[in-house]
Amino acid sequence: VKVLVVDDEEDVRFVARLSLGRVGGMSVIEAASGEEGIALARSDRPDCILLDMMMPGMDGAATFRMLRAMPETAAIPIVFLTAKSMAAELQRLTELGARAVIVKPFDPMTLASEIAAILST
Amino acid sequence: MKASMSLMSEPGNERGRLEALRRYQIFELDRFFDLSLDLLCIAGTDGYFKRLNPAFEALLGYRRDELLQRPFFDFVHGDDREATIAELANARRGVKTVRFANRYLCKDGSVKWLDWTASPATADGLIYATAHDITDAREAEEALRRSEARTRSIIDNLLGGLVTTDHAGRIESVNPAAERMFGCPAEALVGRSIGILFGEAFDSDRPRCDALGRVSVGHALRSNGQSFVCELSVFEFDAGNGERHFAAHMLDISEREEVERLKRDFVATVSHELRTPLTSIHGSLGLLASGVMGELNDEVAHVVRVAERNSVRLVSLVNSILELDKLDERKPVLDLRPETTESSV
Repeated sequence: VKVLVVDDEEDVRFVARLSLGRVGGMSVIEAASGEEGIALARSDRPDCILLDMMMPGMDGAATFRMLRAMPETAAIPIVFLTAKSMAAELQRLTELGARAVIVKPFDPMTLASEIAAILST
Repeated sequence: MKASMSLMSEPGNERGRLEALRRYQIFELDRFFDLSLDLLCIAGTDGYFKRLNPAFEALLGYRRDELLQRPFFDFVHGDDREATIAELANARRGVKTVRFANRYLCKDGSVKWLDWTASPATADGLIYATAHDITDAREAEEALRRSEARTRSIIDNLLGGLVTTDHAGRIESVNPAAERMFGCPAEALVGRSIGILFGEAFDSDRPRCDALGRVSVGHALRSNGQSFVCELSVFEFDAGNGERHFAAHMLDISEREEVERLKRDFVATVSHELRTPLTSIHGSLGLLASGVMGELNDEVAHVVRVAERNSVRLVSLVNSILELDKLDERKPVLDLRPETTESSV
């Protein structure tokens, strides 16, 4: 399974890479911005995109809409990663069309299995 | 009647019989005059009583000779003398007095309200008058007036807006605080639907009682079109005639709401900002503690476990702050959908 992690925080990407790669045995590619994420999604065609909501410039929602608009990335399952845990925020993200929402801080030992479970549904 | 029969049967000629009848009629009139519980008097336009019945003595506490010797103005309350003089001047011109009230001073210092009816006989300079003691009624009126003034003063000085409506939600009264709150004089609101205070085109005869019996929060509209957050308590009352009326007590809580919003935003921002570094710390320590990154010696493993345990604690603290914030979101909100009064009974 190849997962694209899109987050402007290098440390979060580092932890996600270890959690998904070393713990979950997944293949991980990383992008530090929405634009970079879109380019990587088009070129590398990951099985899943873990997309941070709050990023400077193109935020998670804008990146999501771009990915959905492009035929080559439209079908890739997208899981949002957010620091906001309010019910209204989670509902907003689900309504946007996300496959699932994972709230920060995530458990590094179970992140990969969570993603796997989401992809299998 | 017994006396009458004995007089009528007195032997004698016709003149004697008529004289007896006349004496009896005078006796009867005198008795009527003396026994009357109302005050009966004959007064002169010169300002003196000429004849008074005993009811005057009973009421005012003066002997009749005391009342006859002095001008009756002496017994009239100082505040009512001018009006009494004017009334006497009317009587001198032959004007009848109907429902003229003034206060008389009693011998014990108390005051009695008298309601007068009088007919002048101008040719003789006399006034035939009756008076009725209305002191109790006047005092009750005064007590009621004071009570109303007190209630009015409370309503006028309320810091919250108070608007009352009839059973159909038409505005009946608006206190000064509500006038200020809505920027509109009471006259412009009375008779209109209370719905206009909430910016609705609402002119049916159905009041909105969703907020009845509870405190709710909603948006209200000033006359200049500016919207503000309003805390509203609506209650029902009986105006004394069995009809349902409603009163709405309103507070402009825009400022309080703004402070609350800033506080919520601050708490949310701080807690959200904390989550990003926590993700790295908690994640890194979790990976180390799990052994995924390689075996640690006992001492290092212990140090990492302490750090990891406390990062978990920190995560739960941040979550608790956000949970508190969620509680704030559950405030009741004013629902202004139409509803009939019957459904709320």
